[in-house]
Amino acid sequence: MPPGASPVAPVVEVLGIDKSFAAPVLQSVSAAFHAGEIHAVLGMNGAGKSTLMKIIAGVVAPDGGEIRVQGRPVRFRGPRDAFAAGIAMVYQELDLARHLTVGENLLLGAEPRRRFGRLDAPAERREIAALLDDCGLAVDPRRPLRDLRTGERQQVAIAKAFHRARRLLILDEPTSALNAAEVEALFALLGRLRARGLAIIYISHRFDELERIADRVTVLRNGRVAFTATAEQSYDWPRIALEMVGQAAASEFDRAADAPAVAAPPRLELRAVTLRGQFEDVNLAIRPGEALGLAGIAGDGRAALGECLFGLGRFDCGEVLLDGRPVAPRGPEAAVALGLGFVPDDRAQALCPHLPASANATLAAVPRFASWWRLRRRREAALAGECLAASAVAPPYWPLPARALSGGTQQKLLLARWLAHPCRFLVLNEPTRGVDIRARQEIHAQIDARLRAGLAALIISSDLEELLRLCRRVVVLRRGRVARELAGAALTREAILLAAMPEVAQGAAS
Amino acid sequence: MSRWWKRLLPYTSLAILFVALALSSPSFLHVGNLATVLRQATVVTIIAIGTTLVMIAGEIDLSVGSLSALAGIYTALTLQHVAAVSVALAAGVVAGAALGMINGLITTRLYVPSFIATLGTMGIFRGWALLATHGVPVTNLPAGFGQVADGSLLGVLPYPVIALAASAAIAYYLLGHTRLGRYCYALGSNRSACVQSGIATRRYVLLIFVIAGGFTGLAGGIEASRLISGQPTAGLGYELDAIAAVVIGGGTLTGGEGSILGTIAGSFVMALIHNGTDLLGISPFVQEIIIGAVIVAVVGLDELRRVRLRRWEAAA
Repeated sequence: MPPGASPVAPVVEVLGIDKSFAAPVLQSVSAAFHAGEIHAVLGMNGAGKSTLMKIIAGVVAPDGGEIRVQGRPVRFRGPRDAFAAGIAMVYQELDLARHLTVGENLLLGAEPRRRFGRLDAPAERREIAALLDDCGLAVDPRRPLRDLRTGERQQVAIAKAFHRARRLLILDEPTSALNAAEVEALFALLGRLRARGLAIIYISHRFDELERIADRVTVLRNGRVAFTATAEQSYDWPRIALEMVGQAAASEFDRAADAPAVAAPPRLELRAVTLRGQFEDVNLAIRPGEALGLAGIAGDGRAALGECLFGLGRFDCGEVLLDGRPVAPRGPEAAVALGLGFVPDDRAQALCPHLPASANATLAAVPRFASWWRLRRRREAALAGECLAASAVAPPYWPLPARALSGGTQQKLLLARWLAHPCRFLVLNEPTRGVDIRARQEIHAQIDARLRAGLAALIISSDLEELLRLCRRVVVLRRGRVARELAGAALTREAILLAAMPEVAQGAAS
Repeated sequence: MSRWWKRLLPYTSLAILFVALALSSPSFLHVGNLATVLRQATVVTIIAIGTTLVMIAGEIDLSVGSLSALAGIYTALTLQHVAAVSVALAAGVVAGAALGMINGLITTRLYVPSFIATLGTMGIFRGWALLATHGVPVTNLPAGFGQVADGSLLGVLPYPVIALAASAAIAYYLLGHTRLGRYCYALGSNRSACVQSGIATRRYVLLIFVIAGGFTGLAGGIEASRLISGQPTAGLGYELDAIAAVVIGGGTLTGGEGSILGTIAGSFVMALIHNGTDLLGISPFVQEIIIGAVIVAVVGLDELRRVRLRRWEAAA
């Protein structure tokens, strides 16, 4: 039994949930969600949080185990079944219609109707007023949604979910896009809903927020429940951080090989670069042959930093030096010409699904084998073959369209692309997200090989194992600022986590 | 396997249609009839070749009907000043390319989606053609001009067929053997991948509109020759025939797919249906229904296959 089990029966309970995709994602996970409680679920990337939430919301079916609503076992065939059972997930803005009014959005899909499907306007107005009153929201329901600020829209999304589901709401990182005042408003709303007896699952990594609002905490690690605690016991955040990463020994994974001490001048240097609202005053230097890791938690401006470096955005101020020369690429075209490469966290952004693997690999290098009037197919085939082979893509895949390939192979195509177009500096954002173990190892080996050949890389990853595997130096961003730089013996998973989460740092210091 | 089936669909439909018409109508196989089919199909097919490039790149061009009329008028006007037919046809191509550039600039510099941009220029070009001619066809052209559409090289190879073959060869080479062709498919398959690969996407989209305009200008000149005049109302509705040819030939509205040979087959499928229904004495009203049904059936089959494929991929 989890500690602090409440004497009252839970509204929603999961018992022994199992789920595997390629590998087991959840293994006999049990948790209970009580009325009038905010239940925080924590875990690293790949711990199984989002799968568990999808199972509870009826989006994904479990392989084994049971979901109980008010003590009765239920089986969801889709999110509609979950709605019917009083469970809903709050998708940030995805299920709101920008052009409709707040009121129309609140009732979308659940409009009161008269006979023959005619809308019942007075009943609609009554229902909207009652709902806004229930939630304690003071938004004018006649305003079009697009005129609302982010925080207000989110409150509308929550009210809408509450309208459909009166037992359990699931919120996934709800504060990642909010400012301090909006966070306060959100907490006030959640407090009111809690007082009305709603159960809330709250996913977040901001310990300061959880300290304020979580009644109960469950930590998932590698698809299992690793730890639970309740507010009455007061939370031990450093312990929770450790539970999230686990106690794995350092020998479990390879450390980045100790290359000869680098005295070379930096390949890339960032001097006080700032993008308002994303990151501020970031200084970095990366030498040839070095991979610098960039760690942090969601919403810490890391992705935006990578994009700005590649010319997909512009720094507000600050300076970038490439091999000692100031550069300011006006767009990716100029960045590629300077010898910069970029692998985005979402590979769908970077692949042409209809084109064969070979053409995807050579996409940035077409001028190397094609002029205006002639494309030398043999030269292209030779270049593609060389780069794909070096990136561990087997020849049978070369002529297949990219959409027919697995995620791992697709990711390798992107590495091959920046081999075909030789680049001096490569930005890698989540290079192995959603990739199987074997492809992950191959990708890591490939990155190592490129580093040995003198490439410099910035590796943005939420996967600590990956950062420790690839980088000998990791910079941790916290709320857009460099919190710490870790290297050598100081570079551990715990140290990264402590630096990324301010409250842990305080707890550990005391 | 299904990919092969899909790739061959336009050609098998064409072959089946051909055999069926040969069997059901004795006059179908006459050289005269076949030559007529070819001559009639040329104009739309050349336009469709340009539209193929545009649609593979994920754009669309609704202005080609009006554009061909306007280019045809400039062909005719040039002919009134300079007697040489070749110079006049070249003027039509240049005019077409310049008008295509207008389409491309509106799309790439003003960021107006090409559907809207060319919907606008469709009206603009038509009005321009009417204005330039005061609504009266440009006539009094040299007698030799009609030969472009009706004459043959050495009495065997009709000139329009030569123009079609040359256009097809150029476009085929462009698509398969140049940088532009590679980028054309890449742009339609995923625009952001091109941006991230450092490709000057806007410049290439502009160029594609210019080339498509050039092909359409040539088609406009041939159409003018067929009518032995520059008609401001020529080419009405050709944009839809061209899009239909591309789609029957394996192209899509979203881009990344399509081929020159497929488009030619698609265009000929429509030409054979027109010709065959004429020969069999089927009402022209019914012809429209048949062609509409063919388009829906071809695209419907393809989408059905796609949905299955997606389900399969999702399951895997």
